[in-house]
This record gives sequence, C-alpha cells and structure tokens, in this order.
Amino acid sequence: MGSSKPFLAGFTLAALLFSVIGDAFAADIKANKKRGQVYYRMVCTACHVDMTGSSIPPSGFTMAEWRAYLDADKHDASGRTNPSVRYYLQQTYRESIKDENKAAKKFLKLPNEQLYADVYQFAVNGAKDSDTPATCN
Amino acid sequence: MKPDPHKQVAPSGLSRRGFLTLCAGAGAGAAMPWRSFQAAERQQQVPAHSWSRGEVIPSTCNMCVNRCGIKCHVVDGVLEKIDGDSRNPKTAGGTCAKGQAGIMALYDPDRITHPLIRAGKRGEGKWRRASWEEAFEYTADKIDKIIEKHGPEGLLFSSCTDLTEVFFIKFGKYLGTPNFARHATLCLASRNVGYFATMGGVPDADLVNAKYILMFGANRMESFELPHNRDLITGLQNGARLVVVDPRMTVTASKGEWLPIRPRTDMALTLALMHVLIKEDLYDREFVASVTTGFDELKAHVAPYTPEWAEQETGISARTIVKMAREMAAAAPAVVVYPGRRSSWYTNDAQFRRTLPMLMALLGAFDTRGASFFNAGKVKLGSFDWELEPVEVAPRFDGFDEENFPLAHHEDGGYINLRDNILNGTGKNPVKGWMLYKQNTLASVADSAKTLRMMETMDFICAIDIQPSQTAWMADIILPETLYLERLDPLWTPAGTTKYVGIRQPVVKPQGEAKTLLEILQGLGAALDKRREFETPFADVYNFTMEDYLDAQLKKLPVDRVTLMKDGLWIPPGQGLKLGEYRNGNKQFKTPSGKIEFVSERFRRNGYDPLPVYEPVVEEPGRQRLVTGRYAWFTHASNQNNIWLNSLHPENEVWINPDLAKEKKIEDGEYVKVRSPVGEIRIMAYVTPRIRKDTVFITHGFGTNSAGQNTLYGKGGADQALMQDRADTISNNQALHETFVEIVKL
Amino acid sequence: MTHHARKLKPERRDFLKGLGVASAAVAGATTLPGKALATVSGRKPRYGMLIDTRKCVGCHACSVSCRSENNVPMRKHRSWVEYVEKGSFPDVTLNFVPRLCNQCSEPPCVEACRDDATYIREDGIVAIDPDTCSGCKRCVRACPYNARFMNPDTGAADKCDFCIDRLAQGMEPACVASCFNKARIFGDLNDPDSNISRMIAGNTVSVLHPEEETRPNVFYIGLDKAYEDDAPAPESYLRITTQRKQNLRR
Repeated sequence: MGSSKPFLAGFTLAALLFSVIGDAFAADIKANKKRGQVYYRMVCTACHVDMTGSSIPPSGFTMAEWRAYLDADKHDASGRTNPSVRYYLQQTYRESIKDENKAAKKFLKLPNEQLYADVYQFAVNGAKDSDTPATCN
Repeated sequence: MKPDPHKQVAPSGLSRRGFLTLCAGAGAGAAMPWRSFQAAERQQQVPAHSWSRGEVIPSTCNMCVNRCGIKCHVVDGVLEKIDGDSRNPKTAGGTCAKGQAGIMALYDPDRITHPLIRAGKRGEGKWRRASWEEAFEYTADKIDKIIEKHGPEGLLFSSCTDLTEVFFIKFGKYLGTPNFARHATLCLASRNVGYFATMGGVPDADLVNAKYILMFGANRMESFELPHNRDLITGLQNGARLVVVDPRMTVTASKGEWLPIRPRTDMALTLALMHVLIKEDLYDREFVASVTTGFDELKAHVAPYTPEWAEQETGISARTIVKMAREMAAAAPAVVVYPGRRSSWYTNDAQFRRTLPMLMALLGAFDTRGASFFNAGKVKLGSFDWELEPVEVAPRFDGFDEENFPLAHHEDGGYINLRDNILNGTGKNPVKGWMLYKQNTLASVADSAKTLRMMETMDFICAIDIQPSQTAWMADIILPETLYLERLDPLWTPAGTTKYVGIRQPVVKPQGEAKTLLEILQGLGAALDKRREFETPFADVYNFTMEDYLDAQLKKLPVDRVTLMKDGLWIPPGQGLKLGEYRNGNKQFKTPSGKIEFVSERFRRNGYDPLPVYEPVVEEPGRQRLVTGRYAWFTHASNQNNIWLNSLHPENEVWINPDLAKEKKIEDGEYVKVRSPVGEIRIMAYVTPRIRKDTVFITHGFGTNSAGQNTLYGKGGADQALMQDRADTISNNQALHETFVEIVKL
Repeated sequence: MTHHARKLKPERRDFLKGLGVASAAVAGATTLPGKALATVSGRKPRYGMLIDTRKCVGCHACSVSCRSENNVPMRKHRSWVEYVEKGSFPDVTLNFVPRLCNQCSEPPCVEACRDDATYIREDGIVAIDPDTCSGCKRCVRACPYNARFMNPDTGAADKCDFCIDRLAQGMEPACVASCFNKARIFGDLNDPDSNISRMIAGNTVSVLHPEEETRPNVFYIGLDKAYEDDAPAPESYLRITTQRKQNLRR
C-alpha cells in the first residue's frame, strides 16, 4: 500500500514519480490491491457483463491459472476483442473510456505497469485457492 | 399519579397510553438533567386500539439481525401493534418478544430525539441539547482537528450489522481511514474462518428432515436464527434426535438431550467422535473418497484421541461417545453437525470450528436431504453507483492485517488487539477519534474497565444511536438516529432456501428531531467539506436519496419500489435448490483443493496446525469458568432497557450449581459478589441444576453505567466487567469464555 | 423474572401429588374425541385454544404481543408463561406452560359476579364489561387459575378475552399470531373439521385443574411432562418461574 496521505496531492505526486521512473523499475512496483480491485470491478467486470452477460470473478480461477493467464497476456481467443490483457490497462484505453468510466478517469495518469501490477495482485489474491477469494461485487 | 422519574419510568399500573402522556409531564417538571430535555415534544395521545381503524403497513423488523417480516398497524400516525407477516418465507408470520416490543423502543421515554453535546465530564451525565446544525459543526470540527494532527488514520469507525451500515463505513473510507471495527469479531469470525478453511464457506442446515442434530452451544430456541429455530421444532416433531453439548442447559438443550460438557473441551469430543467413526469403519467411504482430501493424515491424527481419553477431558463417558458416533453413523447422511453462530468462546475457536465440518464430512452429511448444504444464494440486487473511494490509504494502525492474521477478515477489525494498541501506544499511529454507529462496545467487549481507559485516551467520541447506551453515555456527542419504524432502508435479500426481497420502510414519522443515518452523514459531510478538501467531496458522494439507492438496487428486477412498499416483499419465481451437485463433482468447494480439506492447505501455508491439535484445559482450582449467552427476549446489549422486555427479566443473575451454592452457603435469590482478575460485580444468585459446578453463567447487557437508561440503571451486573481480554489466535474473534471467577458470599 | 427455587416442602409435595392424581383421574375425560365434539355442535362457534407445550420454547412472544395488543398495564398480565425446572444435575427437565384465561364453560368468576359485568358470550368467550364492573374483586378471588386482575386504568376486572377485537376482524388472537413455532392453535371447538378439533381428537390433551370442574376451553398437549411426569423426589429441585413474580401456580 502507498504510504502517502490519502489526498489528491500525495496521490498525484506518487503517480508522477512512477511515470518518471517508468517501466524500467517494474519489479520494484508496489502493487495496490485496492486500486486493482476498483479497476477490475469498474472496468473489467462492467465490460464483461455488457459483452457476455456474465462476470468473471477472481475466484473463478486458481492463483496459478491467473498467473499463467496474465503472464501470457492473452485476453480472448475468439479474435473479436483485442488479444492483449495489457491493452485494457493502458493509458490509451483508459483515455478512450474515461468519459463514461469513473475508474478509468480516476486512474488515467497512472503508469501502465503500476495498474497492471495492481490488477495482477487483486486477481491472484482473490483466486479461488487463495486465502481471500474475491467476487465481482 | 405523579411518577418519580428518578426511580422508575414505568410505575405500576401504567399502560402504554397513560405512559406516553406521562412522559411529557416528566420532561417538563423533572430536575434530573437527563430528563429535562427529554420527551418535551413527545406529548401525544394514543387512541383506543382497534383493528377496525387505521392502516397496516408491511416492513422489516430490526429488533435483532434476523429481519423478520412485520405488519405494522398504524392509527392516526401512532403505531398500535406489530404482527408478523405470514407471507414471509423466513418467518411465516411469527414474531418474538423483541419484535413485539418494537413499539416500546419507538416510544421509549429514554430515547434520544435530538442531538446532545456533553456538558460535564465524560460519563457524568450532563448534556445540553444542540441543534443539528451545531451538532454537525461541532463533530466536523473535532474530526477536522484530528485529521489535521494525525491524518485520517487517527480515526476509528465502529459499527454493528445493519442494512444501513454500508453508509457509515463508506463515510470512513471517503475520509481516508483504514481503521474499522465491526460486529464479526465479537461474534462469529472464528466460525467463519474455520469453515472457510475446511469447506470454503458456512453451510445451511436441513433441520426439518434431519434425523440427528448435534449442536455445540448453539441455542436456537433462545438466540433466534430464522428459519432455523422454527425448523428445529419441526424437525423434532418429525422425530429428529437433538443432542446439545453445552456446560449450561439452555432451552434448546431442554428440547433434546443435554450433554453438560466440561467447558473448552469440545474439540476433544469431536476428535473422539471422528476416532470412533474411523476405527469402527462407520464413516462414509464414498463421500470421503470423492469430495475430501487428507483422510489418511486425519486417520493417523485422531488415532490417539480415543473415547477413553476424551472422557477424561470432557466428562462425557467413553460409552456415551461411542454410542453417539454409532447413532450418528446410523442416521447418516441425515445428520446435521450444526455450525453455530456466536463462536466467541475460546482462544482456539477457529481450530475447534474446523472439526465440525470434518465430522460432517466423515458422516457424508452434506449436500443431501436432512444434512448440511450450501443454499442457493440470494436475489441479485443491482449495485448503487458510488463515487470511487480513495485507494491510497494508510495501513491499519493495529497490525490486524494480512501479515499477522492472514486468514481473518481485516475490515472487521478486532477490539482486543485494537484496544491494546491504543492503550500501549504500540499502533502504527495514534488513534484519537472514535465514531460509533449502533455499537455498544462498553457492553459487548471483554474487560469494560479497559475499554473505559481506552476511551479516556480519545480526543473525541461521537455515538450515533437511538438511546443512551453504555457507550453513548461516555461519548462527547450523541447523534440521534431514526428507529427502523421511521425510515426507509436499503433492501434486504437473505441467503436461504427461499429467496426474496424485503423492504424496511417508515410506518410512522420520526420522533422528535431524529434523522436517518443517511441524513446525518449528509449533514456531517457538508460540514466537513467546508473545512477540508477531500479526494471526493462528500457533497458528491452523498448526493442521493434513499429512494435513489433502492431504485438502483431494483434496476434489474421486475418489481419497482412503489409496488415493493405496498407489498412489503417480493418473491421471485423459479425458486428451488438442487442438491447433489457437490457430491457428484459438478460443483467444487472454495478451498485450494476444491474439496473438503481434513488437512487445511490454508492453515498449513500460513503456519497454523493443518489438523486441529487438542490443547489440554488449564483450570483454576476454586474458581468457576464464566460463560455468557442469551435469553430469548434480549438482543446483545441493546434492549435490556426496553420497558416491556425488561419487565420480563428486570435483572440478570449468576447461575450457580446447587452443589457449589451449598459449599458457599449461598441461597437462591441472594446477592453475591463475582470477582475476576479484572473486575467485580454484585449480582443475584440463581441456584440451578441447569449448569455444571465448574461453570457459572451470566447473561449480558446489564449493570449499565448509563443513568440515561432509566429502566435498566442499577439493576444486575455486567459480564463484560469480569471478562478478560482474550481472542482467538487465528480469526481475532474475542474469546469470552476464558475467564475464571470467584463467587463470594456477601 | 424472579424465581424461587426451593426444596419441596411437605405441603408443596402434597400439592403436586394432589394435582397429579386429579389430573390423572380426569385425563381420560379431557381427551376429547372429535365425534363427541360434533354432538355438542350448534351452528355458532365455541372458541377454544390448544397449546402444544412440546413446541413452546418460553420465548414470551405471546406475553409481549398480548401486552401490546390489549394495552395491558405494566405488572399486570393477561398472558404469561411458566418455566418449570425439575430434577438434579445433570438429569434436569425444563418445560413451559403458557397461561391465559381458560374461558371456562362453567366459570366460577361469572358465578361470583354480582353486577352481571362478566358473562359468557355465545361464542364461549368469558367477557367483562368494564363499565358495569363495580370493582369488587370477587371474580378475581373466585378464579382458580389466577387469570384475573384489577386494571388500574379502568378500575374494572380484566383478563384475556381471546382478543375479541381481532376476532371481529377475522384475525387470530395476538398470542397465536405471534407464536413462531405454532405452539398455539385457536379455533372453533364446535366444528369437528377445525384444526383445533382435529388436533384435540388426535392427541392426548389435558386441562389445568380439572378437579375444579370449570370445564376449561384451553387445552394442553404435554402438560403431564411439565407437572406430573417424574414427580420429583422429596429432596429434589423444583422451580416454577413466571414473569408474574409468583411461584405458586393456582
């Protein structure tokens, strides 16, 4: 979790810091599970429900399955959507939906790798064989 | 008749009608500060009660957490009678004494109906009446100062389960505090953790069709959990055997066979039962092979736990244990090993609770008729479109986190370690402000003297409540909330065999100036917005009405709010529960292996014993173990001051076995002193063979420090004044039955 | 609740014994077969209540529901519950006897009333006209069940009337409606097909104090468990507790 005070100022500073350091320090990124949760539920789940009528809760897969899926970065085998998971976490994607999506708007400036790490941790920590299985609600 | 408000608010011969008119008089003339601002505007006449007049409004009870369906008979704006709603699938028209006494909670002369700001020292009972505007500014000022000095993590938010609780917790989140404490760690957290590790959740029970029901301490006939209390009676009528393991003979135990176990040895009994089932080859081989893991390890593990060994521990004869195991096996799979609810007993509670689903699994008593089962879930309500909460928050101040309690639910907090961290200054940061919402910590957390000391360290305490509870009495400001009969609440969808949506709606206008929680938070939020810039301004967060909230919940359902308010509940078509899906492998348990785990992977990888290891009991010679529990007419520590309910049981007593009473020369009905390492109380002795000699029982919610509770004040003794601060090591659930007390003749 | 546990004193034992004998003697007579009821039947209902003590858990829903419905003054009771504890550790029994006016067919209270303020209605309910009642308390003393009290609000005698007002609206009495476990069955004893008549026909039922020959219309299943069965040995424990603060049953 971030150590800064929960105010916009601190938050923006942290965001700036990450964008400067960039992906080169990806391994050092401290994931924020809470942020991952918000993005997962507001963006991923919302879209899944719209497109397919059902959601995919983190607890639908095991930790190993989530890691394999996210590491492979293969979003959808059908070819109807963008094939990359990362695509949906990128700033460009967030920018494209920011007007109708609060989470995309709120995390607009967040570095790609930071958000990726956040969502990654939320999914894996919420996997069905984890200690804290998570639903979409 | 001129009543003396100092003594008794309900003098003999006072009817509800007479009583309401009386309150106004008492308020005007009384010298007592508390009285002087109470009830002035509550002058009203209750007309003669007749069902030929008025209207009947369906709603949902809130006198405990069962949320029974009720029908409220209102005549000329006055609530005259509450009846059960016979269409309600859970409650089928019944109500309990508490539900019936909702009227008295509504018209309680001790109810707080306008904001009160402390005018004397804390707990002195001197208050001054404040306008809501002043109350909001005052509270916002205090919160602002604490944030200024300590950050939002200098605040603690405490609340108890309710449909509106989410609004209160959200308020804390938007403020940016990570520090919450909820009801679960006073109640059922250890059960949840034990069951979650073993089978991924807590199952429901088919008590109607069960042939053998084993309950550990669970007291469904006095501590209601609907529809289980009703189903249990039906099950007994259908010929079920009920065995209740409890050092005290509860009403539930009286309806079955009572096994007065030596306290804290319950795990010895469950381990020995498993021992017999395996040794005598009585377990369900097919079930064990198909849906469990770790049987071989379990077999080796329970080998030393023989019935003869368990007899030494539990006081239950080896013969009885063997007989029980055989009878359960004969009745299997129509056996319910009941999970229980309040499991805040011992420091090893999560491990003990684990043995219950293990025993259940050996019997194959799951996912079939007459056994335990996972129910079909709830009606899926739409979710309200909340503004986003801050995600960059400080860690909890008290170390109740993934690192120290990896399997616990961290948002529930835990009062025992939380309080120590505040008192010892060992937290990550100081906590100086305490916001309470219908939480009576002084009466519900072990060692109330210690809680008082914690309160002394606080710069600010704000209680949102309907009455001057023990805790609210010690606060700096009390914000009066509306009663459940005066407000619209978020919708209610229970998990059960029949799904439905229930509504709680106002049946009468609020008494005095009481506001709904949402209105209180809106006012407080506006006052805070003036002082500080928040990540999301409160004006943007709480800019909705309760009607908006309900409409969002109903978005995807074929019923609208107006219809629901008229009908009181909505039962969707397509009910039904399909059993056997876990047995045939179509569904998996939410455990790492997808099966019922005798050897818990979650426990193992977090450094806990993967199989429950029995710890021998350490007793204190010459002292008795103190246990607590419920009567059917009181809820937690919330309505002992209700005049109708209090009249059923004006003061609590300490239950003493006749042999102990004889040794101590204590007569029934005589006042005695009960002394523990942390406190002592004076209380009436109830000499009864319904309890073991090594155990004493005191029900809770009495011995109030609040002189504002006129009916209750001065009666009985507080169990929490005696209890030592212990907690389950895995779930952080407080452990209320770990204290030994001395009974002293006065 | 107050309570008085005591070693059984001789008179107490005699009392119990006497009750046991009396009940046993009349037990057969009070097991009303459905057919016998049918012969009693006119076209008008005769209301009665059957309380299944096996289903009762002593939760006091009835007690409070009654207070609320009938505006019963504090410390007075139309409806109350006896807790009966018996035995020695660990062989203890606990039974419950919900109590109310027995709506007797031959009520001593009506006989005792000189003002004609208390009377039997056509539907069998023993009712009181508070405006006619002179407050002489004779009926209160005459009732062998201690079911009557003086209402300080009206100055008249008062007691359970099966919630006449609710009956007029086609509703069950408040105590019946509130009972979670359906331990109380209310209905027409003159109708052989009513639930109550069928339950009475199909079970062993008894009444309180049959030796008083009041012919109560409130019946019980399982009363023997509470009172007569396993009559405790002289040195054993017996406690009868009610919220009325009186340990002796009348």
